Amino acid sequence: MEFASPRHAMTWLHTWLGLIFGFVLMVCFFFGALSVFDREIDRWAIPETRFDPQPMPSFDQVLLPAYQRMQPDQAEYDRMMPLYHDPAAGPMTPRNELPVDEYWAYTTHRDPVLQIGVGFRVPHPLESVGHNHIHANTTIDPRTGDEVPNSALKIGSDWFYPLHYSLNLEWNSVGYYIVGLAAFFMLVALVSGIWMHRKLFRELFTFRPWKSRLRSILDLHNLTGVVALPFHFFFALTGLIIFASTFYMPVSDTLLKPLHEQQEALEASQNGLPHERSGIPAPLASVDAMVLEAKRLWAERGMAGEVGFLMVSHVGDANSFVSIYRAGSDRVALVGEAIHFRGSDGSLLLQELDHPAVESANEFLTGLHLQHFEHWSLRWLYLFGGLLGCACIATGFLFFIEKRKFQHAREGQFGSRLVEACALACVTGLLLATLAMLVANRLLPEGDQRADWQKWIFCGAWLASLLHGFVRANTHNAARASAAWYEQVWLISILAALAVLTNAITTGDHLLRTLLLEPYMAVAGVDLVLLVCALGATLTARYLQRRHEQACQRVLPSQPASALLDGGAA
Amino acid sequence: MNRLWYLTRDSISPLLAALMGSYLLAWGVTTLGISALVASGVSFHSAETGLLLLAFPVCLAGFLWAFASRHRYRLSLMLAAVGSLMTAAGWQLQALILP
Repeated sequence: MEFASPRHAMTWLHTWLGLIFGFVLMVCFFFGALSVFDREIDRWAIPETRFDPQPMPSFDQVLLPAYQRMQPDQAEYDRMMPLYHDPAAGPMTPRNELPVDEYWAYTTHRDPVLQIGVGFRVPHPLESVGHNHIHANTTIDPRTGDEVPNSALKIGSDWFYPLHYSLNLEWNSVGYYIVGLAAFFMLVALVSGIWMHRKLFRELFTFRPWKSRLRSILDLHNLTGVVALPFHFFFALTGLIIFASTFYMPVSDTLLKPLHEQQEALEASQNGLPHERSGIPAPLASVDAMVLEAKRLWAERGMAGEVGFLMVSHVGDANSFVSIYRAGSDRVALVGEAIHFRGSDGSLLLQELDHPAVESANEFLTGLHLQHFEHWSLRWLYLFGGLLGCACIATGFLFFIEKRKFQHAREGQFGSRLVEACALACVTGLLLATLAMLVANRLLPEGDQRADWQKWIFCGAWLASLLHGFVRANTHNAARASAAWYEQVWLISILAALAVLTNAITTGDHLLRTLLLEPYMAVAGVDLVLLVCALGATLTARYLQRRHEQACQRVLPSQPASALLDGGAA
Repeated sequence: MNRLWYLTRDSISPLLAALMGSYLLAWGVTTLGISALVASGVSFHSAETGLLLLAFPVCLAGFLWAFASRHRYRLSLMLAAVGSLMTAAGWQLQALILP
C-alpha cells in the first residue's frame, strides 16, 4: 500500500481505524456520558436507596460491625487463591478462615449509600511482598449499616460505568485491552482528522443542512469533532493514563518490579508508614477519635471538610495504621490531604501536605476525567461533550455509508449495508438496550436472579437490534436508508416513555412528586431526560419514516457518489 | 482467500508494524526514564507518574510518524529497536541501583 503523501496516509487511517474502532468508541462515549450521572441512575434503579447523600458514618458503631459480617468473595477465592498460595508451606486456608488485612470505605457528595470493602490476607503466600489479597466488596446503608442486597443491581455505577472502560468483558481483562486500543486509535483518528482537513477554525462555523445529504453529514461530523476536540482528546488520553500502570504499560509490575518494591519499602521507612505486618497482634483503637482529630487538623489548615476515603492497613497487627483522606467535593482531585494514624493507639504518624508537582498534575488530569467534584453545570457539560462525541462517531458511520452505497449497490457488494447494520446496533441499539434494561428493572419481580436478568435483557435487546439491522438491510435500493432506523427510533420513543411510566406506577415517584411535592432531583432528572429522549425520538422517527416513504417512491439515481457531494439529491 | 492476503499485506501488517514499533518505543522510554530518574534521586512513584503521562503521546507520535513515512517497515523496525535498547538499558540500570 503506497500513499501519494502523508496526508493520504492520514485519510486512510482516519477512515478505516475510525470505522472499525468507532463501534467500540461509541460504547465508550455513550456509557461514559451516562456515567456522569451514574449515582442518579442507581437511585432510579434501586428505589430503596432514594434518600439524601450521607457523610461517612461512624467507623466504630457502623462500619466495623459491617466489616466483621463480610466474607471473601467465592469467585475471586476460586480464581486467585491457587495463584497466591504457596503449596510447599501447607494446605490452602479455607475461604472463611482467611484473616483480615485491610478495611476501606469510599463516598462522594452524591452517595446516599456507601461502598465498603475488606482485603483478606493469604497466610502462606507464594510472593511474600506482593498484594496477596482476596477481596469482599459491598454497599451498605450508612444510616443503619445494613447491606444493600446484591439482587439490587446498581445499573449506573456497576453496569453502565464499567461498560465504558471494560465493556464488562471480564475474561482475562480482554475488555480493558480492546477499549485501550480503541482509545489509542481515537487519538490517532483525531490527529489524522486535523491533518486531513487543515481548516480547523472554519469547521467550527460550517453546517449546511440544505446541501446534499453527504455534504451536510460531513459538515456535522467535522463540526461535532472540532467543537469538542480538546474534550475528545483529553478523555481518550486520560482514559489510557488511568489504566496505564495496571494494563497498558505495566512496567512497574513487570520489568521494574524489584525496583518498585525496594523503593516502596524505602519510602515506607522514611515516612513512618509500615510497609509490612510485624507479626505482633494488637487491637484497633477508636477510629472515630482519629476521624475527629483529622477533621480538626484540616480545619486548622483552613480546609475543613468531610472524609472521602478511609483505609485501615495491616488490621490486627502492631504495624496497623489508619489513613483518612479528605473528600474532594471542592476541587478536582478525587481525595487528598491524607492524615495517617497508628492503629493501635491513634497517635499521629504522618500528614501529607503537598504532593510533588508531577503527582498533583496526574491527580488533576485523572480527577478531571472521573469528576467526583461538586459542580453540577460542569457535570451537564460533560454529558453534552460525551454525546457530541457519539454524534461525531455516528455521523462518521453515516458518511462512510452514504459515500459508498451507490457504488456498492451497482457492484453488488454488501459492504455499506453491513456497516449500516452495525452502525444501527451502535447508535439506536445502544439506546434500546439501555432503555430495555431500565424498563426491565422496574418490571422484573424480586429474586436472586433479578440482577442477572437485567443484564441478559440489556444484551438481548442489543443483539436483537443488530439482527433487526441485518434483516432490514436494504439490498435493493441504495438511495433509501434501511427502514430499521425509523423502526428502532420508534421503539426508543416507546421504551423511554414506558420507563417513566413504570417508575411512577411501581414506586409512586411520579414527576409531580419528585419535582414538587417531595423534591428528589436524582430521580426527577432521570425521568426528565427519559421524557426528552422520548419526545426527541418521536420527532426523529416521524421525520425518518416520512423520508423513507418518499425515497421509496423515487427512482434510483444513477450518478456516482462523488457527484452528490455538491448538491445532488440522495 | 486472495482478498484476505491483500488485506493482511496492505493494511493489517503495516498497521501492526507501526503499532508494535511505537509501543516498544514508549515502553523503552518509560522503563529507562523511570530507572534514570530513580537513580538521580526522584521518588519511584513520581518518576512512574511522570513517565506514564508521557508514554502515550510518545506512542502516538511514533505511530503516526512510522505510518505516514514512505519507509514504513524500516522506520517501525527502527523504533522497535530503539525501544528495545532503551528497555534493556533501563533494566541494567535497575540492576545497578538495587543492592
